[in-house]
Amino acid sequence: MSEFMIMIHESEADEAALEPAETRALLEARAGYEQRLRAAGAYRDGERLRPSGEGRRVHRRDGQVRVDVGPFEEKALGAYYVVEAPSLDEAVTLAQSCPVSPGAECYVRPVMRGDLSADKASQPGRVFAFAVLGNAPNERAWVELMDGIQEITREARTHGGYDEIAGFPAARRLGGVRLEPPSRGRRVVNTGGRRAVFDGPFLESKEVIGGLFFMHMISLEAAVQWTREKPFLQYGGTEIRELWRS
Amino acid sequence: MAELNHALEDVFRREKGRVVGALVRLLGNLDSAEEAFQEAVLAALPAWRATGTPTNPAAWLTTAAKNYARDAARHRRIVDQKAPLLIADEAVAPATLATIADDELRLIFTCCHPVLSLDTQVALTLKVVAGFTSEEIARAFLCPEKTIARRLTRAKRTLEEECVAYTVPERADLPERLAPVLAVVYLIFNEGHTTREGPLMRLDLQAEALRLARVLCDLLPDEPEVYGLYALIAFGVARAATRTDEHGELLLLSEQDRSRWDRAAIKEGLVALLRARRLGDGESYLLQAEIAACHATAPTWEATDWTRILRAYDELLRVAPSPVVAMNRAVAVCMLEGPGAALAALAPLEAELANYHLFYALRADFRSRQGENAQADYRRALDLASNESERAFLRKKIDPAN
Repeated sequence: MSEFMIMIHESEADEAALEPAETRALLEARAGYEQRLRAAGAYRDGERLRPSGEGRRVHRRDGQVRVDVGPFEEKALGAYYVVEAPSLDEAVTLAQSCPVSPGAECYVRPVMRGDLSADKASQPGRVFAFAVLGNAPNERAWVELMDGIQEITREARTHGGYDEIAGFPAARRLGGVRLEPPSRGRRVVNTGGRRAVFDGPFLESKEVIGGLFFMHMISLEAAVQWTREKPFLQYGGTEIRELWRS
Repeated sequence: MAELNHALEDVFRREKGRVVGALVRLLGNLDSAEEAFQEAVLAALPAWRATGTPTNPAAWLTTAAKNYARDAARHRRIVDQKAPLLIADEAVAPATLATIADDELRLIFTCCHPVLSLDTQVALTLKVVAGFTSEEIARAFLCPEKTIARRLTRAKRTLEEECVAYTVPERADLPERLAPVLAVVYLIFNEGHTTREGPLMRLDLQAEALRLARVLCDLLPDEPEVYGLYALIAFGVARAATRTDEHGELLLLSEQDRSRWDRAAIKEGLVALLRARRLGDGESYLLQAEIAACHATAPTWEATDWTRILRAYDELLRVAPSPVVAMNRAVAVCMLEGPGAALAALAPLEAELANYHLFYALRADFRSRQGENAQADYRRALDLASNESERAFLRKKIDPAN
C-alpha cells in the first residue's frame, strides 16, 4: 500500500457561477465522498482551501522577495485528499469518482514521505497550507529542499520564527507531505462527462507543487513574514493559503 | 492620504481585540489596556505613514503599547513609591499562540459577562473588541454619545467591583457562558439587519457581526453553536444588498432579486453549516441556520423546500420555544397547507405578540391571501412599527396609491 495525494484544482470562476443549490449539492456530495473514502479505509487526510484571492505567493527573484496577492492562475488548488491505495491506477480510480465543480481537474501524485495531522480543523487560531512551488533541476535537489523544509518546520514548533519579535506567538507545525516529481503522477480531466487521464509531467501548468505543509499561525501576515526568511523560495516560491474549517 | 488613513483605521479595528486582549492580561484592567492601545495607535500613524504598514501590525502595536505602559508605570512608581509595578517583565512569560488566542477570547467573555445588562454587553463588545468609537456606537443605537460613554464607564466599574475574573470559563461552564456571547454577536447582526428606527440596515454592524462570529469560530473551533451562528449570519449578509429596492424601500424575501445574492457568502454559510452539523445537532442557531440555508439555496420563493423548513421549525420549537418562532413557522404552514391553516396556527399567539408589528403584518398577509379584509391588521402593524422602511412598506399596503 502507498499513499497518494489527490489535488483538486478548481476553476474558481466556474465555481462562483454555480447556483447556490448546485454549490450545496456539490458540498454535500463531497462530504459523502469523504465518508466513502473513510468507510473503505482509504482516507488518510483531506482539507479544503479558502479562495486563492485570499492567498499570497512569496517569490524570490534576483535577490528580491516579492509577495503577490491571489488569484494567481485560472485554476487554483481548492482541496486535496491523501489516500492509501495499492497502486497509482487505483488512486486514479478514486480520484475519478470525486465530485468536482465544472472545469476542475485532479492531479494524483505519489507521496514520497509525510506526516499528517488529522485534527487541523480543531486547532484554535488559523491554519495555513504552504505549497512549495517550482521546478528543481533534478530529483535529488527536490529531495534536499524538501528535507530542509522538514527540518525548518519541525524547528518552528519550538522557535516559531518569531525570535525577533519579543512576546509574539510561536507557530506550530501540523504535518506535511513531500510529493514524488510530477513525472510519476497522473492528471484527471473532465471532458464532456468523461474523465480523461493523462500521464505526467504536465508542461502546461506553470507552477508545480512539490510539497505541502501546514502551520498553525496567528495571521496571514505572520505566515508571509515567516516564509520570506526561509529557503522555500529556492526554485520558485511558496503559495500560502488558509484552510477552510470543514 | 484619506485613503491611507482609512486603510490604517481598518488595521487598527481588526487588530484591536487581539492587542487589547494581550494588554489586559499584562496590565490587569481594561482602562489601562485601552489607554495603552490608543497611545500605540498615535505612535503608529506617523511611523507607518513613513515606512508602510508592518507585516505584523498586531505585534508592532502590542510592543509599542507595552513600552508606553511600562514607561507610564515607571513614572507612577516614581510619583508614588507604593504603587506596584504592574508590568510583567517581557522575559517572564512569552506569549504563545495559545495565549494570544485565549487573550482575545477572555476579552470577549469579559465584555459579555452576565453581571452586565445585554445592552451594555453589546456596547462594551463593540467598543473594546471591535474598536468602534463611542460616537459610532451612539449612532448605531441612536442614543446620545454621552449615554454610551456613561454606560461604558459604568460597565468597566461594575466589572472591577464585581471582581470579574478575566478568565475563560471552564469547559463545564462554557455552554452557560457561551450563550450570552453568541446572543451579543447575534444582536449586533440583528441591529445591523433592521435597526429599531431609521434606515433599514447598518452594513458595517453586519460586517462586524460576521467578523466576530468568525473570530469565535477560530477561537472555539469545536462548538457547533458557534458555527451555526456563523452560518446564520453569513446567509443574512448574503441577502443584505437585496433587502431594499432602489428607493430604499423594503422588499420581502419573495420579491428579492435572488441573482444578486452574494454567492461567496452563501458558500461560506454552507461550509460552516456542514461543520456545525458534524459537531452536533438540533441546537438553536444550527436550526435557524438550516432554515436560512433553505432560503439561500432556493431558486424561487415558491420552489423553496418548505417541508424541510417546517421540520426545522418544529425542532426549533422543541429546543427553544418562543412565540416569534411559532409565528415564523406559520409562514411555512401557509406555503404548505394554505392561509387558512396558517391563520389557525397564528391564533393562539396573539396574546403574547400583541405589541409586535410583524405579527399583525403577517396576519394581514394571510388574511388577504384568504380573500379577507386585512386593513385593520395593517393599520395595527403600522402603529407598532418604528423602522422607517417598514413603515413605508405598511403604508403602501394600506393605500397602494401612497
